[in-house]
Amino acid sequence: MDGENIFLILTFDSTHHAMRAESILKDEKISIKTIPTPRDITLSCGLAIKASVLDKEKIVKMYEDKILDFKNLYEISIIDNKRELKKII
Amino acid sequence: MKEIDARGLECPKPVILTKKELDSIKEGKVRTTVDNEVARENLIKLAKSQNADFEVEELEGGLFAVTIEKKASIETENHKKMVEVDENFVIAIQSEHMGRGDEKLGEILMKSFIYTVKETKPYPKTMLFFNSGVKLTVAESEVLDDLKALENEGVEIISCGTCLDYFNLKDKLEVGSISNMYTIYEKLRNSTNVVTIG
Repeated sequence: MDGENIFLILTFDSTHHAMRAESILKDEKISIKTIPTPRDITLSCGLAIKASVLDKEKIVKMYEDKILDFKNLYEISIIDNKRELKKII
Repeated sequence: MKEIDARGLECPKPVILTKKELDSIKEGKVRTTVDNEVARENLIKLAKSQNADFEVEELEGGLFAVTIEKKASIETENHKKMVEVDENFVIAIQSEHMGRGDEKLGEILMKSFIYTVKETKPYPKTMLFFNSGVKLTVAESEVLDDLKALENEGVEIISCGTCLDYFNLKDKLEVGSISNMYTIYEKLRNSTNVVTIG
C-alpha cells in the first residue's frame, strides 16, 4: 500500500471512532495503516486511516451497510509531487 | 584481503571490528569469520547499510565467513547526500506505546509517530528500541514496513538484545540489528539531539 500514488484516506469525528474502524477493517482483512490526518484535511480528529484504492468499493459498501462508520472518505493522488484531494463521501 | 577472526566474540563485537576495518581502508575486501547466525546476519546488515557488495560462505563446524567489499566511493557519498539523514539526530523508543495513560491509545499513537518519522526528512541517523519498544522491530509488528523503509534509506535501526531476550523475541527480529547497552549508550552520548519516545 505504501508508496502508491493514489490511496484512500478515511477521517473520523473522534479518536475512538478511528480506533473502532481500524479494528473493523482489520477483521475484514483489509490492508490499512493508521496515520496522522494529512495536513490538507483539517476538519477531523488527529488520526486517519490510509487504505488502498483497490479496496474503495469494499469500504464504500461497508459504509452503506452501516458496518463501518467514518466522517469522510478522500482519494488522494500524487502526480508530479502535487497532491490532489478528492472527497468521495 | 583483510581477514578477521571473530569466532567466540559476542555481538556486536564482530560488527564493530569489521566496521573499523572497513572504515580504515579506501577500497578492498574484509572477510570476517563468525560462529553464529546472529553475527552473520548483523554483518550482512552492515554490508547493506554501507551499500557494499558482500558474499556469505558456510564453512565447516557451523562457521560462516562474510566478505564485504568496499568500493572507492563516489557512489556511496552521492547516496548519502540523496537520503538526507541528520547525522546528529537519534530517536530512542522505550516502549511499544507512545506516552502513558492508556495503552490502546499509546499503541495507535506509536504507529502514527513511526509513520510520521518515515514521511519526514531529514531522517534520524539512528533509532534505538529498548524495553517493550523492541516489540516494534519484530515479526507481527504493525510498523515493520515503515521501519524497513527507513532502514533502506540509511537509518540505523538498533534493538536492545537483553530486551529481545527478556520477551523471548530474539529469533523474531525483522528489521535492523541487535545490540547491547554499550552501543545504546554510545549512540546516545555521541548525539546532542536525542528524542526519547515511549
